[in-house]
Formats: sequence, C-alpha cells, structure tokens
Amino acid sequence: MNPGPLGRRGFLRGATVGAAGAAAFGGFRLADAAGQDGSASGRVVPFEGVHQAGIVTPQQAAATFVSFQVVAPDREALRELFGTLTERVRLLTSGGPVPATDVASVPTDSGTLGPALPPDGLTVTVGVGASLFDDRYGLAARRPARLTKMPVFPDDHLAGSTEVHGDLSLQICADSRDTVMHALRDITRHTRAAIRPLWKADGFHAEPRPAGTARNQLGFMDGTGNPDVARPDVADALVWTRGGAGGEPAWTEGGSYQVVRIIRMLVEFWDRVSLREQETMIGRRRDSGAPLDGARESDTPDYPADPQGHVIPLDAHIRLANPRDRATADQRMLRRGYNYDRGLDAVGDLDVGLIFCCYQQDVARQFRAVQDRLAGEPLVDYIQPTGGGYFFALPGVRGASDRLGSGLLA
Amino acid sequence: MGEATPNPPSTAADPQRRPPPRLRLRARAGVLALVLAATAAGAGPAVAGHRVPGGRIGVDAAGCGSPPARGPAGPVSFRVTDRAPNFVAVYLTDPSGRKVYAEIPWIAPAGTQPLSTTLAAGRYTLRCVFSDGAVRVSHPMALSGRTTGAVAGYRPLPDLAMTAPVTAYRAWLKAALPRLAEGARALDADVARGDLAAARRDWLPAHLDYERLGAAYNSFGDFDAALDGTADGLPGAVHDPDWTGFHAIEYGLWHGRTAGALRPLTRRLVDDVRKLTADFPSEEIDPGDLPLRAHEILENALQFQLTGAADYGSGTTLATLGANVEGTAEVVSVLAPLIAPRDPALLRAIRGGLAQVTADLRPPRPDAARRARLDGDLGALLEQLSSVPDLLAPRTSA
Repeated sequence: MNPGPLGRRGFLRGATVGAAGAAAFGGFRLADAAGQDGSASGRVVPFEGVHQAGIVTPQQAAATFVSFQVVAPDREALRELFGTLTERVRLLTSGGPVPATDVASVPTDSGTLGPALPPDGLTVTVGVGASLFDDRYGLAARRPARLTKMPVFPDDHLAGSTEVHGDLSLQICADSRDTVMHALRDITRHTRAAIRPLWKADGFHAEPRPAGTARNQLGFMDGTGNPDVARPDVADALVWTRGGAGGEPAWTEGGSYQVVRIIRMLVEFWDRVSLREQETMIGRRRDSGAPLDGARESDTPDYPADPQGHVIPLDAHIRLANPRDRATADQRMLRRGYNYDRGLDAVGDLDVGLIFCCYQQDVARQFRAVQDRLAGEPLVDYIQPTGGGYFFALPGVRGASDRLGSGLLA
Repeated sequence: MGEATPNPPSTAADPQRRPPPRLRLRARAGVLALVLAATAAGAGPAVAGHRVPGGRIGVDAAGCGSPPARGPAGPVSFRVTDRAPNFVAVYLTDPSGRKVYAEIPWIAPAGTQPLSTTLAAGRYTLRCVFSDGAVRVSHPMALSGRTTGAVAGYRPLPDLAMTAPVTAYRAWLKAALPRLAEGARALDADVARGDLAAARRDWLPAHLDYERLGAAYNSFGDFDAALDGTADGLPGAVHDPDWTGFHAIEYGLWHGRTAGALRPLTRRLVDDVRKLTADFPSEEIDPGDLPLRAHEILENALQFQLTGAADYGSGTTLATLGANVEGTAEVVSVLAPLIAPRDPALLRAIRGGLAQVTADLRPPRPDAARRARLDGDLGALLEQLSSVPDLLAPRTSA
C-alpha cells in the first residue's frame, strides 16, 4: 500500500484516506523557526505536557472556538484523526519555515503567515463531547463520568440554535488573530474526511483598562475571582480531573471539563441602564472592579458582614456565583472567556457578547452548581446564552511518541 | 523528450470565450501559478537564517549554469538569470532527467527568478529548455547528509502525452450528446402538450444528462451559459428575460409558470442542444484543461450543488452533485494512465474518494449525520483531486 517515501502530499493523503499510519508522519518537523528571537511572535507555548496547553495558560489576545462532528467511518479512522491533530498542533505551535512544495502539489501551507510560521503563543486545546461516546466508536464505557450533553438552562435562548454541542471541540488561541485562523485552516485541511465543522465563534481578549482584569462588553472586569491556577495545588483541586476518582475512567487523569457558552450581551439595553443598577446587578464597581463593599479589585467581599445584602445584593452576580464560603469553595472554576463581535441582528442592534469558557475538574460540582445558583439573577435580562456545549479537554501529550487521545483509545 | 518548442507563456484564458456565469474554470495559468507556488514555498536564505546551497546562476546558450558540485541535503535556493535572448524553462532534475524536483516554468530574457526547494541526499542537475529548442544541462550537484521535509520528484509529462486522454474524452462526450438531445426533446414535448407534471418528472433526467458532462463546460463555450446558466449575473435575476436553459425552466416549473410561458424556454433548450451537437466537432479541448477539470468540476459542485445554491425549486442539487461525480470519474478514468505511473497512491486515493462520495449520495436522502459525512468526504476528495493539475502539468523536455 505504501508506495515509497511519504511526501507532504502523502501526509495529507494518509490523514484523509488512512493509507498510511500516523507513525510515518513523525519524520516531518518544522525547525529553525524564524521569529524565535525574543520578538513577540516568537513566543512558544510548549505543546507537550501532562496537561494540554491553553487551559492554565494565561489568555492570549485572540481565540476561536470550533465544534465539529466526527465523521470518521470507524475507530481506526478516529485514531488516525487524533494522530493527525497531534502532528499538526505540534508543528503549528512550534513554528518554523513552511516546508517546500513539490512540483506536483498545491502549496503545503496557506501562506497567510508568510514563508515562516511564527509560534505566536499559539495553543490548540482539543476536547471531546458526550456524543462521541455513543455507539459509533465503541467508546461508551470510556465516557468521562460527568460528561453529558449541555443541558438547557432556564434562562437559555437555545431554541433553534445551530451552535450547540458537538463531538469534538477545538479552542485555538494565539497572540494574533491571523495565527488563529491560519491554524484552523491548516487543521481542517488535514482532517476533512474525519471531522466536519459545525459551528465556530471568534473572540478577542481585551487589554486591561487601565489595569487589572480585562473587561467584558458590559464594561465590567470579568474573571476577577479566578482561582490562582499558577499554584499547582489549586489547579489540581479545581481544574484537573483525577482518573479513577469519583467514577472517572483512568484515562481522564490530567484532563479537564470544558464548558463553552456563547452569551450574547444586549449592550444597547445595558447602556440604557443606570450605573447604580448595573453595579448592583454585578456586585462590583464598574470603574475599579472593586466589590461594592471594597476599594480595590483585589478586595474580598465580606458577605458575613452584610447578611441582608444591603451593600452587595443577595442576587448580585458575584455573590451568587461565588458566595466565598467553605461549602462552595470547591465549586470555583477557571474562567477563560473571550469577547465576541459578529455583526448585527435583524433590527440593527449589535450582536456582541462573551464566549464564556471555563475549565474544571468536575462539571457537575462546579459549572453546573454555579449555573443553577445564577438562574433568574437580575442580569439575565441583559444576556442571552445562544449556543455552546460541554466538552472534556483531553489529557496532555506526554512525549514525542504520545498523542492526543492515546488514553481514550488505548 | 520530443522536440522542444514550448510556447511562450500565456497566462490568460482565451478572451473570446466568455466564461459562463457560474462555472468558471480558473484561467489556464498553470505557468503563473507554479511560479507563485515556488516563490511562496521557498526556504530562501532570508527565511532559514543560515546559508543554504544556492546563489546566483546564469544560464545562456553555452550552458545551464554552474551549481555547486556538492553540498548538504536540505533547503536549496538559487536565483536564476536568463542571459540568452530567448525565454527559458529551468528544471531541477535527477541526472537522468527522469524526475523533476523544482522548476521555473519561464524566465524572460534578462529576467531573474528564484528556484527554491528542499532536497534529500542525491545527485541533481539543472536542465534548461530554451524557447528556440535548445536544451542544456548543468554538471551534477551532489548533496549528502540527512534532512527533513525533502520534496518528492515526479516524472515529467510531455505535452503529447495528453493527446490520448483528450481523444478518449471527446469520444465519451460525443457519445453522450444524443441522449441529452433526447431528454431535451422529451421535456419540450411535455410542455408542448401542457403536461407540466410530466415536465417536472422529465426535467431532472435531462438536466443530469447535461451535468454529467460537467467537465465539458469550457469546450461548450457560450452554449453552457445558454443551457445551464444560473440567474446570477443577470440584471433581472430570476425574472431576467434573457435567462434560458435548465435552471430557467426549473424555476418556471416549480414556481407556477404556465406551459405557454415555458414553451419558448424548452424550445430554445432543444435548439441549443442541437446547435451544441452540431458545433461540437469544431470545439477544441485544451489538453491542459483536462487535469484542471478533474479537480474543478467538483469544486463547482461543492460551491453550487452541495450548498444548494443552484437550486431553483426542484430540490435536486444532490442529484446534480452525483452527476458531477460521474463526470469527474470519467475525466479521472481517461487520465489514469498518466497519473498511475507518477503517483499511484494518489490515483488510489482519488478512486477511493469517488467511491465514498458516490456511496454517501445513495438513497435515501441523507439525514444530518450522513450529510455531514458527505460534506467531509467531498472536501477530502477535493484535497486529493487538487494535486492532479500540477502533477499533469506539461513539462516537455524536462
């Protein structure tokens, strides 16, 4: 079946028709990346590790979230898909000169980043949805214990939405927008027969204005209460799933539950609301990000001192989301959202909002519990969740011979 | 390899032929496209940040330059200047000339162009083919050591090799035309006697008979616009009085037009098919178009049929896609003898992909899951088909 050395076209061919094993792809590496000279676009986020990059990685400026239906015909094709994803992500995140194109082929690369790919802080984080564990690939017994289809919450606007769920998710983040798009084009080109895109949402991460946590499009700092996941003990307690614990299959060790929610913000309406009302809905000062009972963003709200909610109402967003008590301490999650902007709606209002994304050890204990508590909060009149899904971000690739999904498909 | 009389570069399609509004073959600018590809892919010195074998090469009537006698395997990057009074094509080949690794399709006199690629260890030569017919070969260049990302070499295709496939393809088209005429007449007869239900039944087979020939659009010249044009590009869109052909009839049949209103269109269809058949012997098929068609029939099908954009009421675009797949299979079949010796894996992949898409299109009408599979499989097939034009670009005397 193998007619000799695999060129890059052979790579493409192998990836799409399964003519060649993924191991054969290993010989093809980019190297000597131009741009790895300390300039911004030379920033490399290591691909390999116990955990995937793009989770506790500090947020890059640009992101895209893409959900796919897996159309690979069988489990072997699924295995090849993960091999191809591993190779592409490894190459793209390393950067380096674009490989030469042979005379019989179309260009090996889209060229949108020029003749040498900048690493540009690129991360590609791969997740799987509950539907991948149906009867198609014989994976039912491997389903992460808490992975379900995303439920419809009471305040959701999901009826008729075409942007929900999926077998596989990619979170692609980089320091520049074009690097994100380049990575997506490269990945889809190499995986057409295996995954078919279902929906996609692009986001941008605002600069701190003027300092502290970045603001969302309601004008408020968003992410202030994030756990300090730079501390391994915090990340281990809140972000990383433990294989074998709580009914989790062993392979989930080092992975993380990912929730993506496309949340439209009705900014025209919001801008017609008094600052006082905005701040009591959120529970923080808009300008400083400080809790309403504090002075600085970093101040911890003192809820026991205000049991009736005179200063920070009991139904303020931050108070419901994180009551700051022992009982809910393990419900905290790592939020990693991006603002989105995608044009206008039917009446000429802006279609902007937040691609809410969070990572956690246990989606039921964390996101679900918080979401249930937020049901009916005053803020729901100004936001409309219109899409998204639950996914499980796979454990990391632990070496040159490992690949994404190796445990899942072992 | 045959007499070297390459034509000077022609980078535009025949301006006499107005491309039909929807099916637009890319201009037969293989020459230009390849130059751009070589430039974009070049791992030149500015990119890699260290010295790579290469440098300036001058070619003239006396020889095809002086590449270094030896060097490391890996990226090579030359800048080749034509010092002869003629155009020159430059190929980087193995010493036997059996495989081409890189090329500059044309350099104008006094012009300079890059020749860059990545080469495995081995012996290579530069081969110059001048437009006056002279062929010059440089002394060999020996590369040693290991590298990654080396390009594969491909057996060059002489111009004349395309003759047999074109002849076979013409014969296939010619044999298919009577059936198309029959289908058009049946449709016209239905409308003539006012039986629009029968017309709606007979429209699809006739349209598929045409779409199966999809590859032929350029060789059908302006007839394609008359026979199968969409309303795009017409000032009055679907109400434009100049809109004719299958889609205009489709629109009328599925939007309550009367038999009386449709009859001029079906009569015109019969007439246009008759004229096409009469004209066919004098229509040329550019040999270089055939490999492009192998790729682009299905690019068009993805763009207009898979998406449903070309549906004017009958809801049959997936059937049209199926006919386009059949048309592509025929083109691939006549090109197979040229593809097989150059890239057997490619031919296998294309045939597998055609079979897969055909299976995806089998009844019943696909549900969402099967539909996504079809989308993926067609995309994957196109990734394979996209190699055919470059693989079968003529490299006479390379």
